[in-house]
Amino acid sequence: MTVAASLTVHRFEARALGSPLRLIVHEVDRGSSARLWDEVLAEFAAVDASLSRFRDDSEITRLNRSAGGDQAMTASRRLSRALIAADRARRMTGGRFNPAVLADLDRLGYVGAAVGRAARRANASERPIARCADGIRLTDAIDLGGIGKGLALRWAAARIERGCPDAAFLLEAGGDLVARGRAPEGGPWLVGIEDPAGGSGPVAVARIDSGAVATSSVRITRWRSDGRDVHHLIDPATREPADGGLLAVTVAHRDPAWAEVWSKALFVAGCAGVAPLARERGLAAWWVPTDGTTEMTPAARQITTWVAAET
Amino acid sequence: MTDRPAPARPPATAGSAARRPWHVGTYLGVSIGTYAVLLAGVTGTQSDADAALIEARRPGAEAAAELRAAHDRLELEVSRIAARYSDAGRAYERVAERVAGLDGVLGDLRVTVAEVDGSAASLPTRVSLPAVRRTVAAPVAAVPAVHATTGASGG
Repeated sequence: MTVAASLTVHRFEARALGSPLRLIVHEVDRGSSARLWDEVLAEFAAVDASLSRFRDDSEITRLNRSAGGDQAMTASRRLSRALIAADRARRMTGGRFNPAVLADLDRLGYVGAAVGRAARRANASERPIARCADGIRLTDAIDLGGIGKGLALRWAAARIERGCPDAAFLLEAGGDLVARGRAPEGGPWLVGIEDPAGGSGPVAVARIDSGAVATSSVRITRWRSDGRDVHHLIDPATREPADGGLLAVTVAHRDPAWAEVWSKALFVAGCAGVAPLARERGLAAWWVPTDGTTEMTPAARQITTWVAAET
Repeated sequence: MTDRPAPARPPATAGSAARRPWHVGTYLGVSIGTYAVLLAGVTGTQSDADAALIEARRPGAEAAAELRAAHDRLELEVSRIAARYSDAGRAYERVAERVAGLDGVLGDLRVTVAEVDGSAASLPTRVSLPAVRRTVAAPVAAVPAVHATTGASGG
């Protein structure tokens, strides 16, 4: 169910980075909202050209083809910022988030553009991204899919705010979203948390004033490989799909890229580690174990307005 | 008669001039001394008389001071009692006003009770109630309308 507002609300929809891309914006006129949507599309197109591992001509594909070699490559400002963010995320999550899992995804059958010799599997504790004077050198091929989408949301939101500082908006890209200002009805934006078991309704609804929400879930991107069910959320420690007894983890954070990073890191932490890690970091996080229950941190409880399990 | 020259007067000497006021000084000193002795005697006598008088009046003065202090204390106590009496008077007035208000409320209640009493008298003695369900489903809070849903990517 979606809110129907009588106010002047402009909605736009397209596809980007392999997922639906939607924008709800108000407090601006029609012409300005169309220009903002153009800014969003331009940003996502630029991110796709730079960070998509599924494109044969993207910057990251060219960089991945040089992984493990001695030659450093130059990178655009956008790719450089993404690599810095990914490296910092790896350190901040204690290695639970690690972009150097492309070889494992390829091995399991989630294949992107061919990168040739990048099949080398670096040690999990090894730093995959090294910056040097003449550019960037990778020890292993990397996948910036998740954090790339978060960064695209961050940069697109910044372009909207620069273009129209008074605009209130919600920008959603494939299950991750960023919101600013108030919803058209005057209250906070209400964000449903999808049931990873495939139920029609959400498992919970959260209030978001200005911030981001991201979910790591195995509901869609899963397939069979060598006679077993696998998914795309790789545990860097085992090089296998994370099998910690979780179906989905959702994180609300000020920044969409960090929401994405922490949702993945908490998913990798599994049932046993998700609560301690989320509480230690003060995160607002919801997670659904394989038994279908919904659990959350105290910070998440504060912004939760409805829970399916409690009705 | 033959004038005889008058005997020459001996010339005055410095020693005879210095001896001449000696007895005057003696008389003056004796007079002053006598006066001083008399004055001291009179003063001493007067002082003794004053001391005796003061001593004689002391009990009266002390009694008067004590009486004055007692009077001051009494006056203060009377002032306090007067203030408390005034406060009590005001409190009593307030209580009296509230009592008057309660009296009015009681009057209204008496009228209401009389009306209810009349209505109750007109009620039927037996009322047949409709049948009710023995089990009632708890109301389920509806899912709030949401602006977006976060979930798995790639959809």
